[in-house]
Amino acid sequence: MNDTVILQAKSLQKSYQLSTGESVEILKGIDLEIQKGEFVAIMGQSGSGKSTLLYCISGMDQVSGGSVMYNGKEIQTLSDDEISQVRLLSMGFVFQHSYMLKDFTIKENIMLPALKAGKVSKEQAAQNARIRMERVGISHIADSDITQVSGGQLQRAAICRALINQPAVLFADEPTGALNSRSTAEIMEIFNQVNAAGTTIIMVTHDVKVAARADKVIYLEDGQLRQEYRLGKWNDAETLQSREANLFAWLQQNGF
Amino acid sequence: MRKKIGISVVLIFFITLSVCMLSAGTLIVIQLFSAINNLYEKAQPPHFLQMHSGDVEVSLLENLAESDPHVTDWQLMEMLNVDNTQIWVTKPDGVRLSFSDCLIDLGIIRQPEQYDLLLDTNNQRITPARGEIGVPLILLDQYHMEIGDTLTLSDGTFSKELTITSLLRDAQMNSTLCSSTRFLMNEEDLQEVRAHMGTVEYIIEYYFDDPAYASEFQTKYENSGMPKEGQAITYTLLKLVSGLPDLMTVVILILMSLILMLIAALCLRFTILAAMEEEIEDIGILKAIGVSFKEIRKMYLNRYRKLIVVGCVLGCIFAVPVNQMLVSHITSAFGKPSFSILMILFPLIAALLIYLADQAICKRILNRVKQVSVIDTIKGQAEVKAAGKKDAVRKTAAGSVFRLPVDLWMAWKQLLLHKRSWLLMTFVVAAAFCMMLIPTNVLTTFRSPAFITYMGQQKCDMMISVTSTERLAERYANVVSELAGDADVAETAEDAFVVRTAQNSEGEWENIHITCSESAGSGLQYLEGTAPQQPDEIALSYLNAKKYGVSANDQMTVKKDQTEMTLRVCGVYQDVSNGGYTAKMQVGYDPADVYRYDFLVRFQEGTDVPQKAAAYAETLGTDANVKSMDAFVKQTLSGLTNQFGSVVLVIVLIAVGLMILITALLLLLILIKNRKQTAIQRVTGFSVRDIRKQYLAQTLLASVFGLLLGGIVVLLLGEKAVSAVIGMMGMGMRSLTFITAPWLVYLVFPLILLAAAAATTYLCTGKIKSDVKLMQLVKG
Repeated sequence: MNDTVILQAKSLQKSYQLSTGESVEILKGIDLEIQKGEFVAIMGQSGSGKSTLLYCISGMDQVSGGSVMYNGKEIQTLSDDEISQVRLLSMGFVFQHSYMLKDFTIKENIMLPALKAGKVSKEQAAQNARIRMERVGISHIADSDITQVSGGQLQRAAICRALINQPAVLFADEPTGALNSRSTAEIMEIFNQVNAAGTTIIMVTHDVKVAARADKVIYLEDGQLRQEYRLGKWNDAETLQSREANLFAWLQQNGF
Repeated sequence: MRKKIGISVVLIFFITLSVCMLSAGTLIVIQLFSAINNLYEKAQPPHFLQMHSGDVEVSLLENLAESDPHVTDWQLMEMLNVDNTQIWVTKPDGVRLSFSDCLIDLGIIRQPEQYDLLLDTNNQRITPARGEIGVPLILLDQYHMEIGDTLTLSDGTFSKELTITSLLRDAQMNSTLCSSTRFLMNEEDLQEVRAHMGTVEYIIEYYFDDPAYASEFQTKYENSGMPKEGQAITYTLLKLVSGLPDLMTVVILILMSLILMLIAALCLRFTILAAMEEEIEDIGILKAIGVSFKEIRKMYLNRYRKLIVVGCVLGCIFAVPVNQMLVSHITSAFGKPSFSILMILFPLIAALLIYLADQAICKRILNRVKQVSVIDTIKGQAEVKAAGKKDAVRKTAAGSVFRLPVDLWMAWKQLLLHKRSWLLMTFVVAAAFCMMLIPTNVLTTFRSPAFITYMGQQKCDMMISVTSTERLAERYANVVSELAGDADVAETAEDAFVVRTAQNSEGEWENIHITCSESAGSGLQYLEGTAPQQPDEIALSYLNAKKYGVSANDQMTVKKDQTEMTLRVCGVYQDVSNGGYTAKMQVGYDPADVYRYDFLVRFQEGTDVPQKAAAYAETLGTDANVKSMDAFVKQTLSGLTNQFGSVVLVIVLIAVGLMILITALLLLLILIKNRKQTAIQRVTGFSVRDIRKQYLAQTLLASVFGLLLGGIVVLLLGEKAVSAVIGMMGMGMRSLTFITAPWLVYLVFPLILLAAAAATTYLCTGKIKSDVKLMQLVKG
């Protein structure tokens, strides 16, 4: 594993035991390598195992076989304290529904990982949260209850929280799945900015429009990695429509 | 689904607990009274009893019985008093138990025919064969005698060995609060021993058509020149003294049951609320598809009704073994209570009451469902509880973010926001603390040397009593000269006992026994007023004040022969000694009137009091009764404190156990409720250790509040509650001031509870670690 690789999966397997005692194999030996600063979209049909792959490589779920190396360390061997520390300092997570702690305000939710990391003063953590909220246009809801804001606003808050400790990797599972097209575009714009600033992004999506913003798309079918398609770095000169068209053509060409 | 089963189990548990406690509590009261009544019916203790050492003219006793229409029967018994040093027990392995340190007088009798019987442990009248002896049950706490052991009576020249064949229940002297206790022997053996050793004391016993007549009879008896060189006691007092330890236990059990029921009710309410919150989404869906509120309520009520019925049935079933555990002492002290229909009826009523209360709680909570909006429930944002002042709490907690470490801050904020859940824990800890403190305080009060002031005595190191009708002056002089010649004596006070008559609240003249001395009545626990300071002032014991219908500052007429004196009642004090009927005056007296002297002796610092007492006992011999006060209080109350001590230990264990159990159940419910929130924290980088820290901080904070609350409740209400129950029982006490063991109450108990809360939290939060499927949790 060379220095440019941030995450590497080898022969990754994941199976579940059903209540009938039968075992279902979700991931059937996946090999994957993600470079630092890359923006990777994982696509596939429902049930193909794309979310499971994301959770396995991020250490949120146990693997049944194979290994996952993160920054040269095998994730599976880390203790709870160690993996928590990795999540806190160098990983960020964004989900389809923005899961926030309901007892805390938007700003507090965003600040929490910074407070926990303790790398900056509490005042600085509050300041960082404010800057991030301003950047994504939600500073006016800082002191709101999480039940008082819209889904789009909440998702932006979730992104702010995921980025507050400047993680090396951002994991996203259908981050725009519950949003309208306008909010989707705004969120993806933020993703591209974050990636441009050096954060690696690994994102699961079934939306071609969203996947078209990634550098690379990998396609999963029946628990196996079928193909990958390189779209190249996002740049403003290229229109979203053309990237989207290219990706769509590739998907069709491969019968996906 | 798993959650719902978990909550149902918890719900059933709490209903079971409350039904069980209430049923067992009521049952034990019925059983105690039934057992005491059974014993009294069988043993027929006297309605009036007079001890007398000296000769008895039987015709006098007979004449009195015949001339009084209220007397139904009478009997004269001989009791052979044996010096405590002349009696010992040898175990089969050769170990010897000596009674020399026993402060209760030991007497031997033969089994009477009809009245005042000594019974075996099955409440049967027994007659020992030759060579056999029955020993009193109340001595077993202090001396571990068993059937088959050998008891030896020996004065050095004569010796008699007997085999212990029975343990005796003595309705009359069933408590260490009595001054003597009785062994039972065969008539021939008794005559043989009597010929060589011991002194005879007579027990004169009268029976009336109404036991309440005893008090009036006592005056008549004392004033008609009857033999009275010894203690006199009436039926009411007898019953009280015998039942005192058990009554105290029942007092505490009743208080404890009430606390436990309160806990159970609070837990129940919380569990139903938690259950409803779990159901809220389903309720939203039901509402959305058009099911009316009434139908939804009916559906859930039916479901909870089933759970409540299961809990009630289980509670009744469990009440049986719990009751058996508690009733064991009653059975050993008084025999088996007889069966009464109340024993079935009361637990059933208890179960019914709890069933109705639970239904009411369910209905009230279900009514809140009415206000829940369909949209909120489906969005998962509805809460069953009424919306509180969340914003205010948020602001308060927000302010503390910059002061506290992040985990503590999060814990603090969650505690404030979910204070309803944590309040339950606070209440449970408070209740457990009360459960531990109240009985412990009562126990330490009874065990304290200062308790003597409740016994109508001033504090002193040693007490010497002399009593005699003929040789009193000589015996008095003996003691005075002994004390005068002792350089270790720092201070001596003399109490002289005289008899006067006074009018009771019904206008009848009754004898009143008054202690006269220069310092009489000082240093006692006064309920009202103060100690006497003038010769025309009298202080009365609580029971006497009640008997004569007077209180502090009232006037009271006391007669000596035909001369009347008007005295001012200066104070009312507590007294459990001498049956609780005493009076004190600081007045001179005519030595010819005195029937008893008590010398209260204080020694110089560093004197070995028990050794001194033993030396005096030896020098003065049978002329005087010498008591080392510490040992006296300890032994007198040993029956009470020993039995009560084990009850207190059980209560403390139950309190800690319950607190652990309820904390665990509560935490599990909270953990189930917070699963998603916990998973979110873990995803954002909080480790299991961090989350544990938060829960630990919350449980400890809630527990500290609970300890404070419990402490305040005990300080404000503890003594009042115990005093109220004690007062109701007609003992010589009306109020009890706790004498506490501070290190136990303020340090050990709180630490035990905090440690239990911390350990329980640590173990319960271990469950978080096994919830590794974060992904599923986050996704819900």
